[in-house]
Amino acid sequence: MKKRWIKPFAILVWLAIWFIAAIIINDSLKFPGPLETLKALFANIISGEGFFRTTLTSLFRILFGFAASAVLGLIFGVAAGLKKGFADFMEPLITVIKSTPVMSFIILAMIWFKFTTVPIIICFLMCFPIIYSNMREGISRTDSDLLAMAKLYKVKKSNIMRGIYLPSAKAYFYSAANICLGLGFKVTVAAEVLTSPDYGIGSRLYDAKIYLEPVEVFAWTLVILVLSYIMEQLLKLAFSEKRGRREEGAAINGN
Amino acid sequence: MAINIKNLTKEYSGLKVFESFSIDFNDNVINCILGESGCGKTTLLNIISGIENYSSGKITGVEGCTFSYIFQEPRLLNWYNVRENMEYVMEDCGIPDFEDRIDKYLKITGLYEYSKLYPHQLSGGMKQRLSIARAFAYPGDILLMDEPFKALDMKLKKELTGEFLKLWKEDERTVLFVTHELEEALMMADNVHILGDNPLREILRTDIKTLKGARSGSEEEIVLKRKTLYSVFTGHNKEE
Repeated sequence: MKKRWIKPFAILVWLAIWFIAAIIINDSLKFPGPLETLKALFANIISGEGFFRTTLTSLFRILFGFAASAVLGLIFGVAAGLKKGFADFMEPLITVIKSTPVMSFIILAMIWFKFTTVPIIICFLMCFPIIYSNMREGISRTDSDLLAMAKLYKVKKSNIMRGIYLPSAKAYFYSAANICLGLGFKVTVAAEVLTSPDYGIGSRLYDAKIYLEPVEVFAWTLVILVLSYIMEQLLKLAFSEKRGRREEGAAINGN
Repeated sequence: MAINIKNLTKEYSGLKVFESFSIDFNDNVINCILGESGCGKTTLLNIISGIENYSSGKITGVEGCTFSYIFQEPRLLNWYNVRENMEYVMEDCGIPDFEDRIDKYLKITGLYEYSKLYPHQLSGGMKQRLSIARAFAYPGDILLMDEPFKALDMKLKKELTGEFLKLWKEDERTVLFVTHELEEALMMADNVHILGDNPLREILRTDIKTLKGARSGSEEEIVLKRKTLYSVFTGHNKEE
């Protein structure tokens, strides 16, 4: 089988397994199959009231939390990669954020902040340490020979950052961003389920739980998967090696 | 201005690489430092260029100087193409028409038509040629070379040595060139300084044998000088 057919074939196989499992269980109220899920997606969700507002609100929260963590993670990660003292200063905070259960953060955020902003804060808190750690790693692993070359040719510090540090750390940033996009969807929706704001995919999942409608849970999950895939592809496009550039190896420091 | 090193001492965690080491290099000639691997040649270049510090001693003739450096490996930025690699070091060098200068050296080294290619699309020889073009385009007062042809085959080595000499004749700046290969020294250098390489480094650091004008004089003189150099270098090896 040609390589390009492996992925579509794998998807078909897993869909078939889902389909067969639904037939065996034979209770679409408890475990809906792909056809029931698609039907619910189009009949109840997409054509239902407020689909786009619900979806776009969740997407905005995810992207806002992700963007904030990307910008701050990049700035703090670069600073920590360049200055060990700053990395040591940040270490306890990063360890605490990484080790604290997400539920603790959600509950605390629900006490301290507006419910509508809680999912954004949670998305930021979960993504920031990953982007920070990867950027710190990427910057500190920059080829010292290239830095010596730039120093010898008296290249300005700002140009060393632009021409050596950032390109060297680009692959590390991409790895982190890729992980964080997926994670962002998960934690933002989880926070929405618990805070149940007026609009949000998580709120609709909570409603489905209240009304015991697993088919809607499946359908909304499908919406999340599609959105997550589209975002991942857009990120890939943004980081594509348009000009034939070759980056150094990436590292994954995700949780 | 000639470069003078007096009583240089350099230690790496207790190990003395140089002790009371003194050497003089003439300006506007190709000075070669010939010695076995591990005898401190690269360290010496790094000290002169300021990449590495030294414990004590005095170095004169490099104050306020700028350097060009051809490293053992080309040290190119993989995310920049050939031209951008040149521009990267030239942007801050203070030459207003640096683009013309880049054009000139890319043409001389035969890389002009490959300006848009990235380092991973170049052969080993082309990468090193780019490193040479970059070093000559940059207006460094002193050109340092650390076994730049080490990883190349003999044919390519001869080709690049010829190109290097062609470039140098257009712009005769002071060159400090280190190698462990006698042939390379014979092909390129005006003055050859053979560094002693005894296990008791600190004692024999001052054991430098110098042959001046290795590439100059009449044909007979050059042959004689080369024979002398060969015997000094091989004799030095035999002593070990």
